[in-house]
Amino acid sequence: MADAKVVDARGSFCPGPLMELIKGIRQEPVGTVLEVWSSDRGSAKDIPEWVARAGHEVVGNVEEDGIFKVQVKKMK
Amino acid sequence: MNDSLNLMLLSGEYAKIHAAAMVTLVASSLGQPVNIFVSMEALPAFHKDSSERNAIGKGPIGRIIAETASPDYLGLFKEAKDMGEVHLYACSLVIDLKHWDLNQLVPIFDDMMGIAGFLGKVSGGTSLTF
Repeated sequence: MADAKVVDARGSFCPGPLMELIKGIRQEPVGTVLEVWSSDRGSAKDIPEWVARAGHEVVGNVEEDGIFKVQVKKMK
Repeated sequence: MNDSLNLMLLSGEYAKIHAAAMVTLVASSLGQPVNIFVSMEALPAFHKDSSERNAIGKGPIGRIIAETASPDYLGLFKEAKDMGEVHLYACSLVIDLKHWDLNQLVPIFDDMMGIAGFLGKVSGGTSLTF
């Protein structure tokens, strides 16, 4: 997993982690890698689907101790 | 627009309204225009008076969502409007039947109109009913 700006959305229910990612992506410049931390089990699948549709790139997706950590690179 | 998403909110069931708000948010975040017609039992969920809003029905899941989800459906619709092209229209029939004015509803509506007016705005795209 690359160095990334952490978006800590643990404890937030769907679609909270995705919303936090979207806010982060809108604020950061192209090329930034954001890492969403989520305890919501849907996030590991939902976030990559949204990222693909939105034209960004998933660069990492792991689970550590029940926390899903999805890294997303802003592409545009 | 042909790629628009058109929602009819008719149910006064909390969980359905919340689901519609989540669909709206995600579609809006992906750049898809969303048009929403709020009518029948759903419209009281958008009244400024919390006693009107709280009167809508909550099943087992709706109760949990109401207690735990943040933001609630109103917050999700507001986020979706801030993010993209989202238009909400209040049903004039229900407003008339309840003797309300548009300014008694939460300020997320673009206008009030009848079903013919809404259908005239959404001649294409995908339509879903909640």
